[in-house]
Amino acid sequence: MISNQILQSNIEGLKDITRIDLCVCDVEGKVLASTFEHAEEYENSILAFADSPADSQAISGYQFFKVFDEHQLEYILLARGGSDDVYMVGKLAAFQIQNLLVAYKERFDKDNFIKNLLLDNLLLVDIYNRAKKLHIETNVKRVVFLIETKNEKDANALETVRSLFAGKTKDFITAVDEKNIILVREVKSGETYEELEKTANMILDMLNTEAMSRVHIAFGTIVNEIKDVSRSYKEAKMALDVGKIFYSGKRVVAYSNLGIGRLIYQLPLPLCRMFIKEIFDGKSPDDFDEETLTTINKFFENSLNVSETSRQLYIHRNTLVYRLDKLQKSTGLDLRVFEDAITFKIALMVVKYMKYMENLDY
Amino acid sequence: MSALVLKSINKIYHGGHRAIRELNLEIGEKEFLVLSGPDGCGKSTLLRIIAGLEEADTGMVFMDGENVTEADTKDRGVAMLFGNSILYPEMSVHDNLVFALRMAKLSQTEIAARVKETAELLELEPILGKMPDMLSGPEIFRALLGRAVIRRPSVFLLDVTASYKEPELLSCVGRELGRLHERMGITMICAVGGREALELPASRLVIMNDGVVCQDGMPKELYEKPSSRFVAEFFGCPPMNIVPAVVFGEDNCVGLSFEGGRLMLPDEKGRKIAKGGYFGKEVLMGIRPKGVHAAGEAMSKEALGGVAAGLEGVENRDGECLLHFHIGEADCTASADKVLQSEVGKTLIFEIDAAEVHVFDKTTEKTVTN
Repeated sequence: MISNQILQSNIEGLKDITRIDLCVCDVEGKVLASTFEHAEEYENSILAFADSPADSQAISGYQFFKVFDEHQLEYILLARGGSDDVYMVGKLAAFQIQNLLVAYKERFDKDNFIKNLLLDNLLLVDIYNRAKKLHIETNVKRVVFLIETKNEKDANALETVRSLFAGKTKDFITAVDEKNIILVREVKSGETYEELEKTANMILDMLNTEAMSRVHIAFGTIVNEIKDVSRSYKEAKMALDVGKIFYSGKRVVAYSNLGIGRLIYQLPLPLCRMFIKEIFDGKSPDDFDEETLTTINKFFENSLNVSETSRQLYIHRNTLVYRLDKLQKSTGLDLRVFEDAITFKIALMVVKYMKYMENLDY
Repeated sequence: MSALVLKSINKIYHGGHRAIRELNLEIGEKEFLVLSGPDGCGKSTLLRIIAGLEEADTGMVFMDGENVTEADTKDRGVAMLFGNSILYPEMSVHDNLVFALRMAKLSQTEIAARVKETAELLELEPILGKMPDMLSGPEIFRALLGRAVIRRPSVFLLDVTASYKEPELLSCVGRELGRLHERMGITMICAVGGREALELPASRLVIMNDGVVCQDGMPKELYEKPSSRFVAEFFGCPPMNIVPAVVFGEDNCVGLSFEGGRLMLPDEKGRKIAKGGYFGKEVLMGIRPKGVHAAGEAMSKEALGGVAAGLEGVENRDGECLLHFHIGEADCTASADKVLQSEVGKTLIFEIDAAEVHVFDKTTEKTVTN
């Protein structure tokens, strides 16, 4: 279906050229796009015209036209005025919208193909055959961006993303479910992951400021062939999940930057429980008071640098050393020693993962 | 009534990172407030909490007296412009302006009226029909501003932390925001990085670090009376010189001794230091480069102290000459009226204007003298 924005800009463009007011309604008389006010007053006339066998009709100073999609009535077009010129412009407008429907249908086929491709619903041989039929190149670099909106059926978000990439005919944008929008983007030669991150940040800022939607964005790795696009999609999906667990402050997450979180995400929960039991001896890092947790996090943030950490915590160096000694006594891990620090860091991440999974279960 | 009130805002990300800590802030109607601080200080998070794009863990947001903590972004009467926003590349400036209004299903008459008003306000008439790739940097910025304010927000939020760092574009941003604020009279909150804050015609400046407000006041006040070492070093370019020193008393006066020099402080500053019980204690002496002069330059009678140090380099920046040297292990900068290139390598006397000296507690790094 053509978006109302497209219909509006089409009839406005025609009005700019011809100075004739136009309006497009659906078959139930609902105004979809109009260049003049109070078009909804003609609802009864539109319904009567839709039921009539006529292709065009002049009623109360307007000329009515039918727009078909494969012999099925799709829209009613109104052109203001009774002259022959108005009739001609109305006919032209109806013809143009009809052709737009054909073009959009082709895009719809492509959308379906991409959806099935991402969800692994196609045989390998079908991928190439259908791609050829739909004039989709098979051997170009692509990456999948996954945009998760907070609200379900966020039409503004989809419309914003579509408008952002309106000129990129080789990119595909589709909503895979009520909360997720997918952008399959052709990667230019030489385009780096840094530039992809910039694109993701641009989408984020546009969705925040224009659609006023809360979103998270993730993207997979660059793939070279169309058959691997689903892999990039799965990576993006994983990045979105891993990002929520370990990098909740980040609204854009790249699969390539997941680091150790990616590994932990794939660990079975019983193994995680066993590991935590061994490290913390049945205790949970939640049992640490806020001061200790802040100290640990700051110490990691500052790459185990005692002086810088104490400076940033506004405490004396000896106070920090005392806190680290205390932690060593209770856990047996000395955070100043790299081996112990890495064990502690992984343990904290595992706990975070376990909590996320347990909350998910309930 | 305040346009915006933030009460006890806390935001902790998974992993314990506290982005915002117990933050309270009141922003008056038609105020132009600039939030500034280093990367990760919480200014963007705060802006997003105000916008409703991020949920605070605890705390409340009030707009025009109404509690909007739970309200959707769309229902808060805000407009936003963030650093990575662009114009829709396949739409003219006009279509960019009306895009959101059409999505909100506003009537044609209303849309036309708002376009006219916004175009006049930001002088967009000549470029309404142009496509984004035909526009200059300042024109793009004006169009982006137009696309935001056409929503007629009660609070306009800008986050230009990531972008607009080029001096030319930055001065355009400052000019346009100042003009917009003056003409529209709306409440504006702008998050910027460090030095950029100086370029904006803010009526109030809030410096943040580590999720808390470090200082809040007029930009001039923050520059002249920093409340902590952090603000002193963050606000100002080049930053304030910070030198370890020890407080001493002599002839009913208070002084500071530091490696290679001594300095007697004016009475008022001395009294504050004495009141804090700092005699014999280590402190941090802060002095802006303009308060340090190479010997030979005219000084007021108050300038008592100085230090002998080797001139390590001379730098010309924006018509200002900066001299680099060390006091002990501290990197220091002095400003000079003339270029002393031939003096590099020689030991010079750097006189310190005692009236310009700030003293900070060594542990808390809070000011003792302001």
